[in-house]
Amino acid sequence: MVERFKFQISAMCDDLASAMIDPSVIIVQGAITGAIYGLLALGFTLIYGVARVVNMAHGALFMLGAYIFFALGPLGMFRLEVAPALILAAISLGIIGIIIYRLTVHPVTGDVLAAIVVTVGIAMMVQQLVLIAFGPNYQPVPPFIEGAATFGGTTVTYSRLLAFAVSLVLFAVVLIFIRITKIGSAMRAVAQDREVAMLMGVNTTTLYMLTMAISTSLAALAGILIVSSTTLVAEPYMWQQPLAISFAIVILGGLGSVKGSLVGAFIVGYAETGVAYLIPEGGYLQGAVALGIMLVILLIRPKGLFGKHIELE
Amino acid sequence: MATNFLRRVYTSFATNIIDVPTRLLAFMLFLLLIFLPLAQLGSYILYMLTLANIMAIFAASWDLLVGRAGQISLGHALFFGIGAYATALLEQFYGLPPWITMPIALALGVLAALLVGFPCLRVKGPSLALVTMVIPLIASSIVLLYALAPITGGASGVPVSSFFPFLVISQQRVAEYFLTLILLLVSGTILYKIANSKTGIVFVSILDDELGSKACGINVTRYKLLAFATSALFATLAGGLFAHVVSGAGPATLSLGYSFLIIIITILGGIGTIYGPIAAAYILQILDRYVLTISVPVPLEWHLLIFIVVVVIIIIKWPRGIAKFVTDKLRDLQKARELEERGKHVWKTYRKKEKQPIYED
Amino acid sequence: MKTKTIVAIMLTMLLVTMACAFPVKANPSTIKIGVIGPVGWPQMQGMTEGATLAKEWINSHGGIVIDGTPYDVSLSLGDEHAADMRPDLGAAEMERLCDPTRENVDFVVGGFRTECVSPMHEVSVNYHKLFFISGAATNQLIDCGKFGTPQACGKCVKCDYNKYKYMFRVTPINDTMLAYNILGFLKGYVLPYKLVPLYGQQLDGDPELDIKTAVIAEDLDWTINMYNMFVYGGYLGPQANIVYSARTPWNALDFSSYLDSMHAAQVRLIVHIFSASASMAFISQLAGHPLKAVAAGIDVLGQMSDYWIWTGGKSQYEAFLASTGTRSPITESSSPYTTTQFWDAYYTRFGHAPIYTAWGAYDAIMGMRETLQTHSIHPPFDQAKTDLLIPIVELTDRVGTLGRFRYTSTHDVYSNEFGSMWTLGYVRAVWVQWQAGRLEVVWPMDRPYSKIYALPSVSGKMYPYPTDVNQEAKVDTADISAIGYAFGSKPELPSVPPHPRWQFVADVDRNKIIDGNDNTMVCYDFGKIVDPLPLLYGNEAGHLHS
Repeated sequence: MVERFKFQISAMCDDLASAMIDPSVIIVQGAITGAIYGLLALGFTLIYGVARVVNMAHGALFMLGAYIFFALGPLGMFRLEVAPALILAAISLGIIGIIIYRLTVHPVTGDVLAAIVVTVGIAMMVQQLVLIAFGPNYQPVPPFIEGAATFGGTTVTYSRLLAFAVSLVLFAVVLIFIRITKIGSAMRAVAQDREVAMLMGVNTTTLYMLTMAISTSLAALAGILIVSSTTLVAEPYMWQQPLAISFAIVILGGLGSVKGSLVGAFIVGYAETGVAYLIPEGGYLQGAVALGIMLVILLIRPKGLFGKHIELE
Repeated sequence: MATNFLRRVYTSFATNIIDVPTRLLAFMLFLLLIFLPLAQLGSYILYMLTLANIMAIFAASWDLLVGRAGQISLGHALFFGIGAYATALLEQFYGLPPWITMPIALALGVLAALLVGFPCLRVKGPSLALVTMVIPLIASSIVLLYALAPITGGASGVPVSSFFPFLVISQQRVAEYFLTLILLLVSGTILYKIANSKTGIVFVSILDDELGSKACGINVTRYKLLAFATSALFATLAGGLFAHVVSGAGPATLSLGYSFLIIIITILGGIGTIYGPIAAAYILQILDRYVLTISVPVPLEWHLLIFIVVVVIIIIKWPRGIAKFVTDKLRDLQKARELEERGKHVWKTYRKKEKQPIYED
Repeated sequence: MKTKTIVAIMLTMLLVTMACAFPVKANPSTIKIGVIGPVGWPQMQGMTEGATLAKEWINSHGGIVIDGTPYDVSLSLGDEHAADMRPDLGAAEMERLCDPTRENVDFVVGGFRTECVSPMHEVSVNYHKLFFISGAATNQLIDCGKFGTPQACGKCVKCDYNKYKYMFRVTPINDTMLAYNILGFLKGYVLPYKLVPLYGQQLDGDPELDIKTAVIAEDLDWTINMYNMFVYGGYLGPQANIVYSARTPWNALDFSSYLDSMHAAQVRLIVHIFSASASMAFISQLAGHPLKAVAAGIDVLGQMSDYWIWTGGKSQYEAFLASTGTRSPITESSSPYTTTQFWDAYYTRFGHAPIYTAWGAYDAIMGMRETLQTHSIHPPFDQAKTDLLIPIVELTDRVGTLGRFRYTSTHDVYSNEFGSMWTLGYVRAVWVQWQAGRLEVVWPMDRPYSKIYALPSVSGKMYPYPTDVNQEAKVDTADISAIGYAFGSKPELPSVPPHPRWQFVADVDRNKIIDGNDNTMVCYDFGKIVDPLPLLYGNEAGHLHS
């Protein structure tokens, strides 16, 4: 078996050596993958930064968004058009987020572990409810635009380009929102120091609920865009993978830093694309490399790249 | 001589256990568990309880690390998986019997804990939680690597033989039950003793205020690594037992499912108590495998949903855990009874005094 | 606390537990069948539904009659817990099914994920219950020695017959035979007759004409053997020149890197090997990519009737191994249901098409019924009776819904054919291709329901000359007669039988009916040839001329 191991390693090295490397593939695809992953992690970062809640249900809400869009959209039971279905799905998930927060997370405020357990419980409940309501089979979430564009040596579908664009726009919107608006300043204040913010007259509970609503809406949007541009189907067990990716990105970028999430997402996106392109036989090496980079950066800088003892920036 | 000795044993037993309601409760439950197989309940229930024993050891080990030393670990399944795989692979490739593979697996688990512990020293709180969550994912990826599949068995895992292959299945289940029960008792006692020893107090001080502990001259690094290593030792034990009882070790043992299971068990039982997770392991197992499967047969898809709803409701209602709730209530009852007895004693004394004439002439 | 109270409480507890003691349950008048599978995945739904169909038929037709006594059939469902990855709970469920004081089933059908089936089969073997595997493909359980592991596992039928003789597999076919089926089709037909004449080039200084091939497999252990055979063992033959190979994570989302590399390498044939939902992403992304290649391999999810909907029709032209096409009439002599009768009964009862685990569960139960009715072994089946049954079951040779069925000497599915003809009739893997919303059988070619394999044609595709109906590089009378033979036919809905004369390739304008318009288009191009050959990559259009 040692021979077999050596053989596989040499096969992978051959891959690396003989690959006709076209940098446009890595540059373009890595950027798009990175932005899409960033969209995924954005909601997670927000709710952690403001309310210090590690929302383990983030992946499940991502999945729920895709399912609700399917049910409302042209292929589901309600047969609405794509745009209204999208908006309705995001809004309904915002409302669901508020309900979840009030009923389950609020009673265990302050207890980090209980919040983790409760949100994991919510995630599994969502999984089972979706399984019972929609069945074990996959539900289709088709792309919004067909067709693809070619940049040099690589081809990108319009659907993925749309997700890329929306992700960057949403990041910009969130960053501006936090900077400029009053509510955004309130969020930053609460992220910095909760008690003082309360003394300054910020109603933390309302703010937490609002942040939760925004976070879950973002999760829903991410779910719809990502599923429609990559896997094309929604299934009840797909929530763990987005959760793990969000975690890796958020740790890498620094908990609570929106800018950090974007940078972390790009690092992870480039790492995965690079490995997939340069070492095609690598398989799970993609994930392992991304996680390995995260560990290394953590060893050097334990707070993450932009973590500043938890400031929402 | 002998009667004197027996009387001393009985007295110490009476004062240490019978007079303390919480310990008495624990002792009675333990007796119940020991004598349970007499009740001819069938192999299924014994198997269910064997699995509960294993999960109890696993959860108690996590409790020591998180509830006492404050190192939030969301990836404890790493050690569980190492225990399972180590004993499985040693058996498959070297044909060693379990009583040799288990100690080696324990040593490997402790080694892994030290390796993993070093990077974890630098991060705190939620970052630590998330880092520990991704480490078993990396381990999973390694196990699933196609280059290593001839060794690790890939996604199918490695088959393992039972501890007692020479017994008939019904007797096998009884034997496994007793083995895991005894190991649970031993592990639980050791963990409890550690948690309430001087080392345990240092752990709690690290939990409360790490900077302050450092300022007091405590070697925080050493104690953190000690917490990791001890916790990993018992988690690896649980993993090894698991592999033999379930007759297989696969990538599921490294998955989030088991990490989250013990978190749920521990929070339910009462974090930091050590006995809480043990009780909760039983409660959850009976709820899941007996109540929801046999007493109230629930359709298979609804099973997990109802189970999770019950768990979440319990956690919201009793955030300090069920076992803590029970022991607190028992202590309150004890105090109330003491007050009442003292009150009665005061009244009796008063009454005795009353019967005597006030004036002596 | 007073001693009396303590003793009283303890005695009460003991008495209560002893009162809960359960005697062995006897079900003298029913045969209980355990069905265990991954609840939450479609495979379990298939097993349950197939078993339910069998049960309902049996119970409404007098039950299983052993020595004149009728026995009804009842099902006990168990969860393998593969979806939530808890093999300990899966083993506990099997324990619950087999335990004499619990469900006390007579035999078990099911099993999907090997990691969960491994503990489960230890349990069932210890209780001496027959276990008919209907879904788990790896050899580990029956006939070990995968990946060339030097030592025998000691835990399968081959290694320890006396202990593990209770295991039988009814579906799917083992991966060695699957590999031979792949080679049979690709080496025997697609490469020499379809690809080489049109695209064959001299590569690497080799005088023989080759086709650039890529192999892409998901990175799970069941694909390892096949992957190594094709990529490093050269089993695909001299005409396949492997220029790219990749192993993707089973939950990969984006295949752009792989597709771009294949495009840069100018592959024409992609051998894809997938079982997880990533295959949908791959196939859709392939359809939208400028890559001009055909995908022919294994796609477990592709067999499902909704696959066309899930990929939005982009799975057209994908070819892969399956156990049957869309309502293909494989055999007319199975009883009580022929293949199509089973399909119709299933569709009517459950509203969707059966997946392979459903066929397996149904055939296993019907097979046991036949076995039991011809021998005098009465339930309940304890160890002694099961041991008597085993040699009888080993001799099973019946016509199941997917063909003739018997077991190998190691209790695996016997399958012996992989060529273009299906003469001996034992179950085999067939090649199917998605054409116009139906899965059509394209290999073996001698069946009345077999259709012609189609290279992607119509503009912008790999072979943009739809008027060359049989894809032989010339438009001639063979094309006209193909249209003539199929004239007036339409591709039917998936719930009804395929039209016996329909040929997808004959529908030149792709309007789902073969009519005069198709004929006219062929006549317009009559006599033209595709020249020069081979068609170079990216330069396929505009070569059809007189």
